[in-house]
Amino acid sequence: MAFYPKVLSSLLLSSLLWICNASLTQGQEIQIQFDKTPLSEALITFRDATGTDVVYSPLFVGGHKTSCSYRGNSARDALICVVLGLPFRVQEIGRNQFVLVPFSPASSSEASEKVVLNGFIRDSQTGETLIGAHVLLPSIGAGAVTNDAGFFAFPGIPSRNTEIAVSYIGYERLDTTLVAQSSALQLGLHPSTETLSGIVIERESISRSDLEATPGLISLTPREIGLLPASIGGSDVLEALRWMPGIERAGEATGGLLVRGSGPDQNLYLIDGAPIYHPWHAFSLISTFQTDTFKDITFYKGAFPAEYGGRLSAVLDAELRDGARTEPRAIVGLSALNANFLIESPISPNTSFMLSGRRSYIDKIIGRNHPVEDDFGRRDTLRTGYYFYDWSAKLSHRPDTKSNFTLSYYSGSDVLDLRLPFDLSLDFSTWLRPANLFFEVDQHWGNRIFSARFQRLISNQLFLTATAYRSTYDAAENTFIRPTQSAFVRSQYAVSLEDLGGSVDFDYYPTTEHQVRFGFSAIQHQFGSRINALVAYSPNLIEPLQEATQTQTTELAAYVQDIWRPNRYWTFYPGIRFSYFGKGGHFRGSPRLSVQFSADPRILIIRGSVASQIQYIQRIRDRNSLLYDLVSSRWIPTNADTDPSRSGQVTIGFESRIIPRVKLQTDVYLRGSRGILLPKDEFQSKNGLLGPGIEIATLLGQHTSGNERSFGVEISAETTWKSWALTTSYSGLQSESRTIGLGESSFKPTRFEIPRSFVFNGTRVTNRWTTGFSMIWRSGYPLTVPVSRYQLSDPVTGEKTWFFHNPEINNGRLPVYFRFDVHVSYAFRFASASWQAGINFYNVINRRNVIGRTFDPASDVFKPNDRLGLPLLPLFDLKMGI
Amino acid sequence: MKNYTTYLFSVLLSVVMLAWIGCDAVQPGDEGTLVVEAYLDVGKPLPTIRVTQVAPLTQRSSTNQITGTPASIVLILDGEAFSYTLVDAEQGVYAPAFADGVLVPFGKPYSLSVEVGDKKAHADGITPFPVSIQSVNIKVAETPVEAVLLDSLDIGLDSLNISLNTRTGYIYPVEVSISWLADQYSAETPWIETKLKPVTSFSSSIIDFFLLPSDIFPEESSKVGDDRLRTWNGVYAVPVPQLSDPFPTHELQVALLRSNDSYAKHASSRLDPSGREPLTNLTGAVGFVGAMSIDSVRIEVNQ
Repeated sequence: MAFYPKVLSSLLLSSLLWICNASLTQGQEIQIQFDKTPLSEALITFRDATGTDVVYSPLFVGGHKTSCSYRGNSARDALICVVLGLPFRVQEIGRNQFVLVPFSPASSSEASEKVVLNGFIRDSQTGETLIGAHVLLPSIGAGAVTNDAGFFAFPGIPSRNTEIAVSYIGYERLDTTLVAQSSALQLGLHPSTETLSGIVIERESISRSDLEATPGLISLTPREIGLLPASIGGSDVLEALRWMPGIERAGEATGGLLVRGSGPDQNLYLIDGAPIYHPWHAFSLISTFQTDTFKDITFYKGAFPAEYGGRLSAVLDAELRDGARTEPRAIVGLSALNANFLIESPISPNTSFMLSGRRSYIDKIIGRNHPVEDDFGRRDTLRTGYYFYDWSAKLSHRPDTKSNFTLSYYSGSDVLDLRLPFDLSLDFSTWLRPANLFFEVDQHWGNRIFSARFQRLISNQLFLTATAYRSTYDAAENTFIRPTQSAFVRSQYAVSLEDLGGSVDFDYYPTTEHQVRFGFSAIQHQFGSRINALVAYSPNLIEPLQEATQTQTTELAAYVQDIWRPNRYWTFYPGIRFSYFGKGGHFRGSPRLSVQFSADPRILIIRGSVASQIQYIQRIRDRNSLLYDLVSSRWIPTNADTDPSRSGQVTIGFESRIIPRVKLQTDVYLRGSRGILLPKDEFQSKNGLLGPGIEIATLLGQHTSGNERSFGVEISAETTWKSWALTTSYSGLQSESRTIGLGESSFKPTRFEIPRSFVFNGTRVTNRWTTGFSMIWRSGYPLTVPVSRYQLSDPVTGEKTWFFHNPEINNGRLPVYFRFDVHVSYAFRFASASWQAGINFYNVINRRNVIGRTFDPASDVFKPNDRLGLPLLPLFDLKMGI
Repeated sequence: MKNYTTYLFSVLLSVVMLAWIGCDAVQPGDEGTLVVEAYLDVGKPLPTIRVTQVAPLTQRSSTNQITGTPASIVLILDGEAFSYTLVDAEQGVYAPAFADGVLVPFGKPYSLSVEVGDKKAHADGITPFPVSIQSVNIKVAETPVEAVLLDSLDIGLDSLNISLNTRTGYIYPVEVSISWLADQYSAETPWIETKLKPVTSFSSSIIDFFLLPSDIFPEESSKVGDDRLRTWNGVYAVPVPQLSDPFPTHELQVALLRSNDSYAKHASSRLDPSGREPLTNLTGAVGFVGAMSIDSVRIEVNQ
C-alpha cells in the first residue's frame, strides 16, 4: 500500500518541478512597441506580455493613444514607457501589480456618478487571496472584511478618486487612492518585514473581530502559528490554538480540543468547506492541520456566524493555499516525528497549484519487519510498523478576473502494524525470536476530502460561492491475539462515515452599511460499521460475533446573516439558520446575534453575542469491549427517539488598547447545553472481549441524555518588551453536567473542567534568531476520589472483597499541571536556499505532572497510584525553503 | 469619561468572576453510609443479614460496626413480616427471630427495611424459580500448553510508558460443561451466574482474561435442548511449573446461580474492585439485598 504514495509523489514532484521550471523561464525579457495605439489596447497588450496586473479606469484611459518602444526586464519601466506623456502616473501596489492614477481630478459630472467600489485583496508575492483583510474608506468611514475569495465591495461610491486603506496582519498596510470603476480591483499587499509583535499591539491596528463583531474569534495565519510554541510533531494548527484562552487538550499531549469546557466532538473542523471528522494523527499527538499548507485559519469559540452549523461549541475553518501565482516556491522540513514538503507554483498566468506531503519516519528507523529465527531453525517475522501521512493538494484556476475555480484534495491516514510477543522487555534478545504467544494489531484510520469550489462575481454587488465535496472517514481495527497455545482472539472491525455535500453561498452588498450573506447546504451522511470476531477460549469453546450496521440520512440547512454597520460606533451581526435532519425528521431554527460598540477602538470595544446551536450527530464510543472502538471515532446520528443536542451561549467581551502598546481582552460567557449523550455508568471501562455488540441501539443504550452548563471568564494581554512579544492569558471555568435519565438532581463537574488556567508566552524575533518560551499552569482535571470503603461477600463462595465507596463523581482533582517549554531557531542561507534550524525543549524543567490517578482498595495503605506525564523532550526541526 | 468608567467596571467584573469561578470542586467527605448485605436463597432458611457502615479509608482491619442502638430490620416475605436481632455485633450480623423452619419460597415478593437511627435503607423484589445442576462434564487437556501469565496491562501513551508485565508458563486448560433445567415460570427475565472455582490453590496465579471460568448472562441467551436443558460451557486453567508436570488433581466447585437483572448488574460490577464500586439495588445504603437460587457441587478433577 505504501508503495503507491511513494510512486505517486515521485511522479507528481517530477512533473510539477518541470512545470515550475517552465514558468520560471517565462517573461524574463519584456519587449513592447506601440505606435499611436489606443491606450486601452496597449495596456491589454502590456498585461499579456508581462503577466502583470494593471488597474485603471476605462473611463479615463479611453481616448488616449500611446507611442512607445521598450526592451528590457522591468515591468515598471515598461509601463512608464507606455503612459509617458499621458496624464497618468504609475503606482506600484504589489509585486507585478500597478495602478494608473490620473493626474487631473475628476469632473463634477463624474463625481456625481455612483458606482460600486469592489475588488480582491491578494498577497503581492504569491498572489494568494487574503481572507479577512480589512478594507477601509476613511473619507466616508466605511469598512469591510474580505470574504473567502478575498473579495470586498462598497456600493454607492462616487466615481472619483477615493482613498482606500487595506490592512491584514502580517502585511504592510496599503494606503492609496483609487477610482471606483465597473470592474473589480486587484490589490496586493506586501508581507511585512516587522515582527508579529509590532503588528499586534499597534494602537491603530485592528483585529478581524473588530469588523466581524464576533467575540471569541481567533484568526491566524501560518506565519503567526509559526511563532507560537511547536508541538511534539512540529508546528501544528490545533496545538497552537491550545495556547489561546479557553482552549485545552483532553490529554497532556494528546486528545481532542476542548473549547470552554465542551466535549471534543462539539467542534466542527473544515478544510476548504468540507468537514473532517478525525483531525488527528499519532493517537492525537499532532493534528492533520499542517501549518504551511494553509493560507488562513479562522476559529470561532461559541458564537459562530449562521453560515456555520452542526456543532455546539466551536468551528475551525481552514483554507488551503491556492498556490503561488507569481513564482514557484518549495519548502522541505524535518521534525522529530515527520518529514514534510510543500511545492506551489503558477502553471499559467491564471492557474496555480499547491502540493504538500508529510510522513512520519520512525518506522524507517526501527524497521517494520524483523525476520527472526531460533536455535531450531524456526522462522518468524515480527512487525513494529507505525506511520502516518498526509497529502494536500489544490489546483486554482481564474478563467477571468471575476471567477475562481479550485479543486482541493486532502488525504491522511495512520497505519499501525504490530506482531509482537507478550513478554516484551528492553532486553531485545529475550523476545526477538519466533513467538508461540503473540499479539497482532493491524489498525488504520484516516480521512479523505475532495472539494470543488466555484466563486464568481455575478454583479458588482453579488458574489457567489458554490462548493461540492465528498468527505470520508474510515477506520479499521484488526486484531489477532494468541495468549495460550489453546486459545486465540481474532477480530476485524471497521467503521466508516461518508459525507456527500454541497452548498451555495451568496455575498450581497446592498449598501455600504450592510454585508449580507445567505445560502443553503445539503449533506448526505452515510454511517457504517461491521465486526467479525471470534474468541476461542479453548478448542471446543468458540464464541463468534458478527454484526454490521448501515444507516444514512440527509441534513439540510439554510441561513441568512448580515453585518450591519449603521455608523462608526455600532456593528450588528444578526443571523438565523434553519436545519432539517432526516433521521427523526427534526427541524430546528437557531438564531444568533452579535453586537459591537466601539466609541474609540483605542480605549474600549465592547462585544456581545447570543447564539444557539444544534448538533445532530455525536461521537460516542463503546464502553465495554477491547475489540472495537479503540482508536476509531464512531459518529452516531440522532433519531426519532433521541433529540438533537442543543446549546445556547451568551458572551460579552471587552477590548482595550488604553495602555500604550498593550492590548487587553476579556470575555465572559455563560453556556448551557441539553441533549448531550453522557455515559449511563461513569465507572464502566473497557475490560471485556466481545462486549454487547456494535448495534447503534446497543451503543445508545450505554448512554443517556444529559445537560451541561458552563460559565467562564477569559482575560488576555499582549504587549512588547524590548524585542519580545509577550502574551498572557487567564481562563476561569466552571463546567458541570447532569444526567436526567439517571435521576441526578444536582450538577457535577464535567470530566474536563479546568477552573483555572494561566498561560504565558514570549517570542523574540531578530534577523536570524527566533527565541521563545511558553508556560502553562492549570488546575488538574476532575477525579473521582473514594471517601470510604466497605466489604461485601460473594453469595456463592462467601469470599469477602474490599470496595471503595464513591458517592460523588468528580469530587476531587488531580494535582496542578505545570509545564515550561523553550524553543530556539536560527535562520540562515546556504546553497541558495533559506534554512531554519530549531530545537524545542518540551517540559524543560522535567516536571513529571500527574495525568492519571487510581486507587487500590486491596492495599493496606490508602495511597494513589499516579500516572505521570511526559518528561523533558528535546525536539529538533529543520526547514529549507527555495 | 464614560468610557473609562465602563472599562473600570469591566475590569472589576472580571475580578469578581475570577474569584467566584476560581473555587475548585468540593473535597471528599464521608457520611457514614450504611452497608446492607442479604442473599435470600430459594428453598433455604431465611438468611442472616449484615448491616454495617462504610469504614474510613485508613481502616482496613475489619468492617466498621454500627455503634449505639442496633439496626431495626424487617423482612416481609410473601406478606409475612420477620424481625431480625443482632447476633454478632463485631461483624454486624443479624439473624431472623421466630423463623425456625421457614424456607424462602420461589416466585414470591419480598421487601427488606433497615433503620439505624435516622438512616433508612430499603430493597424489594421477587424470589426466582429454583435452579438445579443436572450434569457437569469435564474435559482436561492431555498435555499442558504454553500460556501468557498476564499480571497487568498498562499502556499510557502520555507517559511513554508501555509495560505488559507478562511472563510465560504452562497451563492445563480444563473445559467444563454445566446443564440445568430451563426456567419457564418467572415473569421477569432470569439471569444466570456460573462459577468454576478450584478449591485447591495453585503455585502460581493467572489472569483469566482469555479464559472463561465464570459468566453472567440472561438465561434465555444460553443454549437449550429438546429436553429443556440449558447448557453453559466454560474453561478454567490449572498452572504447572514445567511442561512435563502431570495434571494436579484438585477439587473444583461448580456453582450455578439464578437471579434477576439487578443482581446481574451488581455481580458484573464487582469484577473490578480497583476501578469501581458495585452497583446497588438499595435505596439509602450500599451493598446488595436480593433473592436467588444457588446450586453448587464439588467435584474432584483428575486427568
